[in-house]
Amino acid sequence: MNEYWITDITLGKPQNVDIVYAPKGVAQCTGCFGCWLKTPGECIMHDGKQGVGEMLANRETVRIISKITYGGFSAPVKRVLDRSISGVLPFFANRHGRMHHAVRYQTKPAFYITFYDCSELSEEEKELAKRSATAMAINMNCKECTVNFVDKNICTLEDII
Amino acid sequence: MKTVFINLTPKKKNSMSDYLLRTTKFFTKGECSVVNYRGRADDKKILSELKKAQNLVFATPLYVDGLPSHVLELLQRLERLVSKELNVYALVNCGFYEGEQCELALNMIKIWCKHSNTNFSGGLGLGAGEMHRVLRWNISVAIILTILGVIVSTFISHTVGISLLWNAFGFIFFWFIFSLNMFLSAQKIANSISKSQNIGLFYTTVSFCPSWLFTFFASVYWILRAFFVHSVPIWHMFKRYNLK
Repeated sequence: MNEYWITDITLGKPQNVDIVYAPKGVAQCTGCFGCWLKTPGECIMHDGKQGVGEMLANRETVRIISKITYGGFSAPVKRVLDRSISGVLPFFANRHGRMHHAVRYQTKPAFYITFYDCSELSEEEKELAKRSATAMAINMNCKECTVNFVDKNICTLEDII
Repeated sequence: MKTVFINLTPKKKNSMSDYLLRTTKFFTKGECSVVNYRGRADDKKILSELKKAQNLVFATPLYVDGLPSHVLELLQRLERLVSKELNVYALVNCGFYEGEQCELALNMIKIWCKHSNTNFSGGLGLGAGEMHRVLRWNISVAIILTILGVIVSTFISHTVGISLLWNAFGFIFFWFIFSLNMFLSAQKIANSISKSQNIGLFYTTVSFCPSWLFTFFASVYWILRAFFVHSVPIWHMFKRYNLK
């Protein structure tokens, strides 16, 4: 199981992908740092999504499909990503010339991020989305991060792969 | 001139967003009101406060290089409901040393202003948020040490009492010195809010503390907090799961 997807739309399960996860009813992060201090590596809210940090930081490939929202991920996708800090350590390390969290897993995932519904958006918003997605991926110790934009307001498997 | 501050932290108390918000509010002139956002039920309260407001200030933490999900949800609901005359400011704090890391979240609020046709008037990105938050405890420690110092120097030992008072002074001194940048920046953005002026984006972090010292303090803090609050020893903090 080396590929993990997070989407905010319903997609069929492609071949060779282990989990396609469209978040519904995910609890929001409360900023308690319990995933670093109380139950290290795992969110303290056991709603079935407590292991999302491991899923993002310890996979060969992570693919995120999100509607672009104010130059970043959509709220449902961000709910999952906010819960993912258990994938890194609370300690700090310098990567790419900036302070980031030290890694918990030695895996270096490849991030493929697709933003859709981009037809009426400015270059500024797209550029911000690219930078925020890349910053998130670097924090997760990514090997590479590729960001794509799809103009259509709905995303299909053909647009992604 | 009315300014509405919205505290967007999910924490119920003792949050850095609340601390930064209240510090900025302290320096802001004119009528000010604070709404602690706890969920969709607070939308009405926010809109009612905004009716006569000229300035809107969002105070939020940085979550995974962006705005937290509950903030995005609120912004989407407010987008078509807020007055186009509003001047919008943002106070964003992050746990990293560099305040510049808040730039992404600040620009997201700037883009929200374009979508809602409000005027984005500037924002402050504060680094070392958790350190600033914890430094506040220095005040409580200093008060306890002062009381102890007075009691001990009066009734038990003058030398030990004076020593306790010097320690109390030390705690206050370091709280003030390390927080100086935050106070000055809060005052700077508060001046602009008071005059509804555009200030642009600017960043700050803990003062008189280089990044290597911050990293050392942060590491010690996490280790002590895990051990004394959650009884988790340091070697358990590196635990790895394998859900494959």
